[in-house]
Amino acid sequence: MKIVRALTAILTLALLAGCYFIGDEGTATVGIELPEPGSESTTPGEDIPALTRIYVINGGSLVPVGDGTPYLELSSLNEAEERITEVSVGPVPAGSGYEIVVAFGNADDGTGVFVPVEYAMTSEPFAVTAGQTTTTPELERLPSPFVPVDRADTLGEDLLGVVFTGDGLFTATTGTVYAAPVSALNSAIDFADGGSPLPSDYTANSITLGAVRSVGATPWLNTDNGLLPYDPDYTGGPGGSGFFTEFDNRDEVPGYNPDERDWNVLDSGAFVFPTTSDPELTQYVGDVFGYFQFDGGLGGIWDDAGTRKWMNPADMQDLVTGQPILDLDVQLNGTVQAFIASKLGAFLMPQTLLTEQQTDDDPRSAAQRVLDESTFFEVTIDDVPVTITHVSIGSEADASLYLGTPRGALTIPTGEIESGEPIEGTFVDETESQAVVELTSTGDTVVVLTRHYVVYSTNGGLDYDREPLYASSVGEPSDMLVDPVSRVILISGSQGLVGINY
Amino acid sequence: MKKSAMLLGILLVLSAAVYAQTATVTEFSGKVEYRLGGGSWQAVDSGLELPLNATISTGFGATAVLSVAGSRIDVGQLTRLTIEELSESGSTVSTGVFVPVGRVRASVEERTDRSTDFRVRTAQSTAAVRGTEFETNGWELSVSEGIVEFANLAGQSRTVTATQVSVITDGGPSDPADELNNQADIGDEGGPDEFQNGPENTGYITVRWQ
Repeated sequence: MKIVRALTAILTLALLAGCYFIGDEGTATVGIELPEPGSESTTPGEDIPALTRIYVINGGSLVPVGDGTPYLELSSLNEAEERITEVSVGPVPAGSGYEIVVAFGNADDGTGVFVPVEYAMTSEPFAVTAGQTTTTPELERLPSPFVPVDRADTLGEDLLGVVFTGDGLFTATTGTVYAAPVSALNSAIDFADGGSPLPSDYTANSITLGAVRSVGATPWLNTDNGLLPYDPDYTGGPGGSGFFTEFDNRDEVPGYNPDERDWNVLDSGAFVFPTTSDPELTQYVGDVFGYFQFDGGLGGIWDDAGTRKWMNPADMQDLVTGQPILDLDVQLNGTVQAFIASKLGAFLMPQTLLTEQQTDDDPRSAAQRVLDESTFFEVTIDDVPVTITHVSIGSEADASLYLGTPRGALTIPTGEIESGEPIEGTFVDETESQAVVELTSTGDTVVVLTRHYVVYSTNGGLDYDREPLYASSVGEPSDMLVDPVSRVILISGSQGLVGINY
Repeated sequence: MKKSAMLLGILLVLSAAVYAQTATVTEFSGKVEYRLGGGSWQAVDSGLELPLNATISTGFGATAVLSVAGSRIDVGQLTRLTIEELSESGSTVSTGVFVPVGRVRASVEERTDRSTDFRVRTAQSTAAVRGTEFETNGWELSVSEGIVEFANLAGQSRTVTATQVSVITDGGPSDPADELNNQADIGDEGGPDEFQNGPENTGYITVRWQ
């Protein structure tokens, strides 16, 4: 059993390393709808978006400049039906670090969601002086690089995340899952109209990449009533639906008392054990290994030929609230090691933990062994410790680790982790003061999603570009999916799903 | 002999009544693919003739132009289009396409010898045209030239003429005469041009753009 637990730990960690990436199965481009062309114009042949919104950003926050809104909105045309090209906003606190994004678009007729078609933004932060008016240079107006994905189904929806299984793209709200059958993201994405409502006693918290032994990779809805896998081709769910409501059969949990626990699942992940030539591991081929997180706890699952074995959960409710593990990444080339961001701090799991079996005479639980033998490390910004919320291993060449924090994205040399000393982080360009929502790196591609921008590099971090999310209809971002082959990023948010070809 | 002649006559009548055409890919750029029915996706080529039930799909930044019975369909990026009808009888040229996602612009040839029945169906609407040019994404229709009948799934319809716009709302396609006003009455005006009576330690920003 300890062998299985160690194996589960290894494979679950390896699974999570691939959570945000599409496999290289020939994916090319994502298909999404065109934005509205702009409002009708009073000048024949000229389309001018009807609305203009101005966002003022400082220190990672929006500075309120509207009447009850965090942006200023006005008509794109003045009374003479000429395009407005200058507006004053304020008053705003004097200081440095101001940035401006202007979005031009139209309110969607069905949902009222503002859909930008053009945008402009300042290229450098500037300062505002008390008692004076600061004028920006003339900002270049550009077409929005973002496009809504299947706006008929997702525009205006508060989406929890986005998942790609290899043959389907999935997204979900708290009560509905949307599925589009695609084997490669190289054409228009068309979710099944209206989506599939969850069974009445389930409310989703998030959607992650999981697996079901009889199906393969499937999205897992993490709900207040346990794990809920979904497959559009499955008909054994309630009313012939594709929901695997029998998945978290509590009767199979050894030593677990469901009356004392709350099956409100916050996060999860799973994968199907791949084909291997290792004789010791062939017995696991086809089995599903996964994990799930609940408030203050972490559990595991091993689906062996249809018999689901639920591991005794690691209960850390006395130590943490919410999901204990925030993010992790596993290095499998050369030295095997895992970097983990957790509520208890960031730590490095050494190769010995991942590849060597726990001996039978070791009285410690698997979780205690991990805590004892891992190397916790502290990262600082200007000598002030910062909370690490995301981790992603950089390219093998530069031996660095990308970290997401509430104060921006950082890089640190992985070689300094085992020194035991605090490590001063270096900001990823364009992310200082921006709370990181998602972060991922693979090969030379690095993508950071913050509240206001998506920042990306295609040359291993030498140069970064950024695009403001206010040039899109996504709203507040919740999740990100990156395909470095087709150079497409999908972003889910409080107002739908958008894509960008970077 | 008479039966053969009769059979031949019947065949000739049927062929004249329904002459299956194809849509031809005359131009394309970027990643553009097609499939026949539920078959596998293949790359298009200039001159490719697409039969009934063929579907064309464009990727990011890709476009395609289809020619059918003298009319032109510009397929925008990230658009999926299925050919639902292609026929030419003695008096009517009929073309029908289904566009579940994306955007198309159609320039429909107005013929003097036959009537043209050109329909673009989306998940939200159907646009039926006669010798005109228009653009739609399913919710909004803008007409550049000619007359277009714009209908929702309940069959409520409006006639939209050149330079007009109609959008699908809960109550059906909107009155084009109202659309010019609907989106104009919104938002706040800009702030003061000069700093006036702001709180201490505050300033204003004048934003300028092209």
